Amino acid sequence: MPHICLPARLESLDDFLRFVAERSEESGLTPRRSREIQLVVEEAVVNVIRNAYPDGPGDIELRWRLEADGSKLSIEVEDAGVPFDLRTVPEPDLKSGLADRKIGGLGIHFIRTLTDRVEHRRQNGKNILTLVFDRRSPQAETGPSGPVTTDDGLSFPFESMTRETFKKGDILFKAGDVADRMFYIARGSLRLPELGKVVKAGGLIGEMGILSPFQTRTASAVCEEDLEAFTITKDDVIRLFRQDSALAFQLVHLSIKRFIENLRAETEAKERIQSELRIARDIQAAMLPRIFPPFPDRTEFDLFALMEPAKEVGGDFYDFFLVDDKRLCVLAGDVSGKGVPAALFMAICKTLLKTEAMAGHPPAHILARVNRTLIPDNETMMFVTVFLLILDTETGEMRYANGGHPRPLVSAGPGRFDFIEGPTGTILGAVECVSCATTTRALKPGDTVFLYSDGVSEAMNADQQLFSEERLRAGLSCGAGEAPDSLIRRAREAVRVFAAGTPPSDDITMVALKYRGPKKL
Amino acid sequence: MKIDSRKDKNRIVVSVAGRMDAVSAPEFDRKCDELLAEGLTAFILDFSRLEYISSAGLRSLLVLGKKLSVKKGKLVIASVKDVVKEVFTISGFGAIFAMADSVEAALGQV
Repeated sequence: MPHICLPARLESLDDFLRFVAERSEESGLTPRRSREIQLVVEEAVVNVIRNAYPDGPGDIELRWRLEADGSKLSIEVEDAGVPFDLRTVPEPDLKSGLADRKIGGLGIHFIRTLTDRVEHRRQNGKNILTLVFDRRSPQAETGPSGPVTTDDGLSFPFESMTRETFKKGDILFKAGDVADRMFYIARGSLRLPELGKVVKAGGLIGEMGILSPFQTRTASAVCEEDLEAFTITKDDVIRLFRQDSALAFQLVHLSIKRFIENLRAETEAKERIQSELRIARDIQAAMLPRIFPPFPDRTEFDLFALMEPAKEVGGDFYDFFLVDDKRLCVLAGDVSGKGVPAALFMAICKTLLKTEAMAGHPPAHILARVNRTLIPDNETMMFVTVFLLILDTETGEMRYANGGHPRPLVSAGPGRFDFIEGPTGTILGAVECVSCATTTRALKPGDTVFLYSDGVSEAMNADQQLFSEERLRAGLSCGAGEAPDSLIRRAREAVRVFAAGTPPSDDITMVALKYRGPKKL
Repeated sequence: MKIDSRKDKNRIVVSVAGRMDAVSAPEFDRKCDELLAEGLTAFILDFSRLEYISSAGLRSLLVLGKKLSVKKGKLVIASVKDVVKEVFTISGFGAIFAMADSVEAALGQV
């Protein structure tokens, strides 16, 4: 097995490369292939010369191993220097311009790109780097005898193309990168993740970036298997266009075809998302109690609620439940954001609130405890506003706390609604320390509490006017002690009339609780 | 490696024949520094007879490019082929430098 051993000094490089050139010629490799291999060996040897022996002289041994059937060439580079594995060096930044570009890592990049495999082992105090070159068919060695023809029928003259190899997992380019060349896949396969498309041998990619007015990649390309590609630069493509207008036409034709395919895939994906949102909305609505009257045997109060989701899944919710056989809890909330994440967060909030309320804590404590639970895992920065009340059905005493929610209205006698007393408080999920005090109010039989979300007060008409809390208050005050369901229906109708056709941008929630007095014995 | 240079008006055409590797690249650096010291700032590198370039050679080009950039000069690289062209493509250097198909075309750019 041919080998050569020389001191690890720059002066030895010429001899190492001559060794490689001579062995390559003996093996029948083309001059071009020989130079590629010399380049790889130079980078590996120079790396050893620079780094392996910091404290003194040392040697490098090069071994040339060609399989008997000529299918594989392994060149081993061995040194007895400090432990070093070339493969651990990170990829250089190949996209930076002249001002920012550094040379570091480029040599190793060549080694990775121009070899089919790189192995490293440390044995008996020596680093052994093995550079593996798979021998390809004679045709691939010298290149196709004629032009390279893609599956779509485009032909490129071989002389304009550069052979490049990539390993499984390598990224050829990322969406947004500057498009500088097209790739014809000779061997292997790659995937375009944004499009969910796989391109195999015979395929051509990267043409759209070159022809696009923005000169940027429309998708990324990742190797699924080790890849052999022939690339042609944008400038060469343009030159070819001048020589061969039929090719130009074919390429544009292909690009338009691809563009339409991508558009169709995008539209389908969008429709899929829309139907997911519809499902999320249905699930969200189903989570809220919708059977009325909810507690038919409880004559102490009447309760009605309504939640109409806007087109996209919003985050409104409400809930009511008996904490024990005397006390009723009613709450309304609004989660920030839209879509499926908001719906999921809403489900969590609703559950947390019920859990803490059922444990018997007073309203402000409930909100504080829920807030403390939401804070640590809140990476997505979602917030929720909540208003929560607990009514003692025996005494009419109502205790409540507000966490940043629109201030509810309460009637003190028929036809007179006012905003409930007490601070608006802090929204939950944002900061560790929330200030939500518990306020107490004695309800008299006939008193009604009206909770609502900002989808009501912020409902807009065509003139960009808001419905507003004041209009809501005034509208409710026009009644004469009606039952919660009539009250809510009237209020809902008022908002609909006001909006006059403008679709709601946010969920609309209304909850009305009327106290009738203690249970009759 | 053999380096020749000739002036064309205010431009300098530097022809590099043979190989630019870790051993010969420093000679290229020295030659370019001499030309820069003469006050020349418009460089055309004729690589039509360059058979081989490694990362050491690319480093020399990068250094030259940055030095010229500071002087608001220009650098065009002409006629890369075969392995040299492959190296430029793989490393992305074909995108950082102004490239031309021939020295004539390069002269037209500067």
